[in-house]
Parts: sequence; C-alpha cells; structure tokens
Amino acid sequence: MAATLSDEILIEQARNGRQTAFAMLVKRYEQYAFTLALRFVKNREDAHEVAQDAFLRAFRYLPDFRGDAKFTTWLYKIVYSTSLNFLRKQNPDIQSIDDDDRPVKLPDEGTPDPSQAMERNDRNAALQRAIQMLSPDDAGIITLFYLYEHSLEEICQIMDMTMTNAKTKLCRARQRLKGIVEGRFSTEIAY
Amino acid sequence: MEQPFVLTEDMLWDYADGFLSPEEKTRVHEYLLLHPEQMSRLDAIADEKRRFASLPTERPNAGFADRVMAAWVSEQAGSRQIVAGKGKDWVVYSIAAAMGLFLLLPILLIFISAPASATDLIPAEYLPQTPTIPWTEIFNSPVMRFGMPLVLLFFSFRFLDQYLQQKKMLAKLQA
Repeated sequence: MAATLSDEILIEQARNGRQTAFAMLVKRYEQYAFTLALRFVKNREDAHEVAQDAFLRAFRYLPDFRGDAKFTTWLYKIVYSTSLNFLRKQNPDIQSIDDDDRPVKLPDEGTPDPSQAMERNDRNAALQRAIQMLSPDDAGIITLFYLYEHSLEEICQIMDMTMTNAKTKLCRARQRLKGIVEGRFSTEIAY
Repeated sequence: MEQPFVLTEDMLWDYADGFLSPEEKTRVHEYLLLHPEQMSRLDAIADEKRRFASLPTERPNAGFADRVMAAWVSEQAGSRQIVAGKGKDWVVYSIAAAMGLFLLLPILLIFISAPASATDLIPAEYLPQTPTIPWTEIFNSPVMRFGMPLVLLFFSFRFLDQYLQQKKMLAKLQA
C-alpha cells in the first residue's frame, strides 16, 4: 500500500505534518541519497552523516518545494550541497568539488591483490570501486547520469552548472573512469 | 577539401547518450550504416551503459531511516519548545510594555497637566481644570519605593533567563 503512494501524495502528507509520510520518503530514497553522498565524500561514515543531514534539510525546506522539478532532482541537489558543505568544513580552502585542474587522485591501496579480486569475480564491485576512485564531481555526475538515469538538464539543476559544462564534465569523467578501469581493474572489467 | 569523417569514441558515446545535434546524429547514423563493422563499438558502449545502470545502490547501515526520523522528531520537538518559549516571551514582553507605560505615564501626565506656556493670556474661564496629581504621595508610597524596584528586578532576571535558555537551545540545535 505504502509503496503505491506517489511522491506527490507523500510530500503533501509530510507537509501536513504526518511523520509516517516523512518516514516513507526516507525509506524510498535512503539508498539513492546515501550512494550519492558516498560518491561525493568517499567514506561510509561521513556519507551517513551527509545523507542524514540532507534528509533533515529536505524536510525542513519541504514547504518551499514547489514541484517544478522532480522530488529526486530537488533531493539530490540538497545531497550535493550538503556534501559540498561537508567537504568545505573538512578543508576550508575547497571552493568546489570540481577537480578539472587536478589529476585523478588514486588512493594508495597497497600492493594490488589480483587473486583476491579474481576470487570475488565481481565486475560490479570492481566498477563501484573504480567510480569511488574518481573525484567527487566525476563520481557524482557518472552516478546521476548512468545509474540514476537523470537527464543532463536535471544534472545541471542538481550540480548547478551549465549544459555545456555538464556535457564536458560527463565526457571527462567517463574518460577518467576508463583510465582507472584500464589501469587497475582490467582483469575484472573488460572495458 | 572536406576532411574525412572520423568516428571517435567520444562521438559514439555522445551518440549513445543522445547528446548529438540532429545533423551530427544523422551523420553518425549514416556512417554506421555504411560501416556495419563499427556497430560492435556502439554495442560495447550500450553494454557499458547497461552495466552502469545495473550497478546496485549502496545500502546505508541498518536503522538509518529510523535514525533520520529520530533526529527529525527531536528537531521538531526543539522547534516546538522554541515556539512555545517565544509564546511565553510575548506574555513577558506585554507585561514589560505595560510596566514601561506605567512608568512613563506620570511623565506623560506632566505634559498633559501643564500644557499652556502663557496661561495668563487666556481668560480663566476658558482654562481647563487641570487635574491635581499628588506626585509626592505617589513617589513616597511604599509600593513605589520598594515594590517597583523589586518588580523591575524580577523582570530583568526573567528576560536574562529566557535569553540564555534560547541561546542554549539554538546552540544545541545547530550542533
């Protein structure tokens, strides 16, 4: 029954103060918001904090949600800005999580263990790890476009950028992901 | 001389993602029809896109939604307390305003009771009967001498207490 209720109905009920409607919205989007937060902040513990904060902010500003955009677009925009604030708190010098000027920073994982990776034989896990190695912006745009299947226009709204910029960023993110996959996970993923 | 058309990887991705203009799209489409061997590249991209789309989302730890709701309920309760606190403040402010007015009233009455600067120019029958206020009795009464300072002291402490409580609550919520 709860699953059949549309976002619009749940939002309306939440606006009227129904706690269960809030809870249903959290349940429905917790994985998406958490995954996106994880793409940006790169750490599960921090992603929990960011996702929780994003939901609280979303509920706080729910009366301002006019419904011009999809609820998810609006929610992911909040997740993005909350992540940006979180990263800024950690590093006050950071202006954006766009790293066009910086090379992809590969975390030092010690000696690669191909046997372990082959044991898992999980292409998805390898691809997830490759995405995690991307910069926050690159990982975010790849997640939003290819995983969540948001349009470029929606991504522009979420990440507050122009169409041209988004297109270029997506192309570069794809190239960087390809570079990581070919360099690190070529045995697990045939790109 | 026209450059030969080269179908790059990025162009194919843009074609698959639907980013090309109608002219570019037609050009790529025609090229692929003429070079069916290149279709495998497009198929590989389509596979890659499918792989992306099928990636599972990450699960937050168990009880995440409950924690969010607990935080939300707690925040709401905090807001309600602040709102309730604000309501009480209005009562206090109203009482303070009444007290202020009470203190200002004698000063106001002085102006009302002694309005004319040249009363000798006005015939006595036209002069209003000015009220006689026993100022000395009022200010020397025990109520004014002891009661007023105590009341003012009480409200001063009350204001200070309310201010500190709100400050503490806001700091707690922001944390």
